[in-house]
Amino acid sequence: MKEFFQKIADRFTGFTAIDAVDILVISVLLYLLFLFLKRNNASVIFKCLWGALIVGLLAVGLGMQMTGGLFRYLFTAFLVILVIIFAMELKRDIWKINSDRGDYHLGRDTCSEEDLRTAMAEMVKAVQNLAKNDVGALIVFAQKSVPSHIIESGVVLNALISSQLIETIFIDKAPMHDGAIVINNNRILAAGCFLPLSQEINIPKELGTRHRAAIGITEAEDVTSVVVSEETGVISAAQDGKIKRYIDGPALNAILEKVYNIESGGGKRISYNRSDRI
Amino acid sequence: MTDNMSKNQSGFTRFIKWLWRLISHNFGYKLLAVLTAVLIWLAIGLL
Repeated sequence: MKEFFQKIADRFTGFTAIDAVDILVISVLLYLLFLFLKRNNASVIFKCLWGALIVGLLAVGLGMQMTGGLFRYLFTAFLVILVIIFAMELKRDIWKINSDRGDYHLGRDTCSEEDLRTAMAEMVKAVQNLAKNDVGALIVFAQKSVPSHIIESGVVLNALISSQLIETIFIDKAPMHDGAIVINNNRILAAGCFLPLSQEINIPKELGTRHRAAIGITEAEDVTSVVVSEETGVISAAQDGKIKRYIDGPALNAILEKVYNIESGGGKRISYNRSDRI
Repeated sequence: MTDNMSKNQSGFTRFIKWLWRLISHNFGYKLLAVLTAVLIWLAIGLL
């Protein structure tokens, strides 16, 4: 055991700049691998990979030749197995990179903080009114980019935000109510947009397709979505595939401040914890 | 002169903010990736 720690200490003693770059490159590749596994709900494989690494390291360090050798080959085999298991998902991701779908690249250069605060107030008002009247709604806040196929699946509006407009869009039997609106800064880019549904199996049955879509888009893109339940009028917000339910006015305001990256006006902060994942 | 300094400062602040956003976004996964890379680096050295 003493030898094991001595070997580790020796390894760190000879640490060079090349080693740092080496670790950085592998870290980036592993981060992309982790994101891919997370996006495809492969947390079991993720845990297995980590377990195998720890056991492998211990086996090698303690001089267990057979176990160490086995894990060495298993690690190589793991990458091949991963490609086989996720062939479809890899194909989809490569297709996404290669396709000329293009993204709507968005920014806040043309919008002042005052405009954003006005838009936020209108949005909070609209969402609260929709919740009060049990009108279902799905709103996506995209600040960086949004896939063009999502915008094109709906009706392009490019209209200034107003609570009346948002409420009108989601009113029952209106042509565009059955879809999401995509918002950038103080403009509604499009309405009636179709979003990818989350494939997460742990979503409770009482949450319908609208909630699945709200989670699904945040799994695939760097956006935040807000959803109002048609049955209960409960407001929820989703980010990075996690959803937070029972959002009130100040909490929604805090979420929007975070989305727009503007200074907090004193509203309470919302954190999307692991326990919030449904 | 003062304008230039404030411009530089705001650029620097923007850079720090950008760096912070880069690191803090999905921080758990980034940390795990670095730890895993260090583990692999150690394992290879011990082989």
